[in-house]
Amino acid sequence: MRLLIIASIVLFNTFGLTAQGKFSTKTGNITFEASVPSFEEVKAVNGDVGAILNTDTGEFVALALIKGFRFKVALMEEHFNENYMESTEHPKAVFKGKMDNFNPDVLTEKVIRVQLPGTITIRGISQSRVIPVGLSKVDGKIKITGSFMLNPEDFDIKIPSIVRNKIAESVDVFVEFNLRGE
Amino acid sequence: MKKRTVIVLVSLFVITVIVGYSYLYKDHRDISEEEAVEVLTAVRISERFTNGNSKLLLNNVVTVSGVVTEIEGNSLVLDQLVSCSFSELPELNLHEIIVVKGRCVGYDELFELVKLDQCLILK
Repeated sequence: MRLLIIASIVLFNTFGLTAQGKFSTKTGNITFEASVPSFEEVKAVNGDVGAILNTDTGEFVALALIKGFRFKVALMEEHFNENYMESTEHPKAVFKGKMDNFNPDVLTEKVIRVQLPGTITIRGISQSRVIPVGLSKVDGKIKITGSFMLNPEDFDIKIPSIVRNKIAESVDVFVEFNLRGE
Repeated sequence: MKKRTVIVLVSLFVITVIVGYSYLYKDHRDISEEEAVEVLTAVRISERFTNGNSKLLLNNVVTVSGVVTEIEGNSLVLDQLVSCSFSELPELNLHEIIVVKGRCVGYDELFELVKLDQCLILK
């Protein structure tokens, strides 16, 4: 009987561990804004971003489809896709990174700040960045939030001089992922 | 003569403003009004992307049928192959067979999913 209990505990724990390994979402959120005061708001939201966190290694990867970014102004969305991002040739933006000494067991509802170094790839151009992110665990889901700035020139995005003063030099990016265990 | 010139100039100005405004602030596409370019099953549309035969689908309205295999937030997955996002997801059950119309956004290699947005359920 004792053996059975021990065996079931061991078995249960192993299953528990394998289930812990991967947290993911298909509905992560990325918002960016490059507005200039007193001009039309330049802001877009993509609520369909896929992301996976490996809780054993701290590795994190996110993928957003460029065509999934929605603007308030339809023409802005069109120009963003056709002229600036060329989203048919370069359909996605990807982030790959790894948190050092990641430990999922210390996560609580209280947000902790950690550094997430990694590579951002947009329009096929990769840039190394360290993203400061907030980590917490709410209702069994791991929540990752972060904000950072990107420069369009770093990804060879050319903004025509005619609209140059209506679009901010650097773009503010906000991300939020509520990752659930698989 | 002078009065006529003024009228012509003013009406030209008004027309330019109206045309310019309607160009700058044209409406977003209405996916529910648009005709689907293709009607396919979840398996078929996924094959189109893995075969690299997706040019005609990208950014176009498609109708996709399949079994609901996952529901998360305002989106659902058909046959574990196609992710469909809604502005508001209607009441649905897993394993239901449904037909969805939406805009084809592209292919997510991370989850190996075709992505549709602005979806609505046809049946």
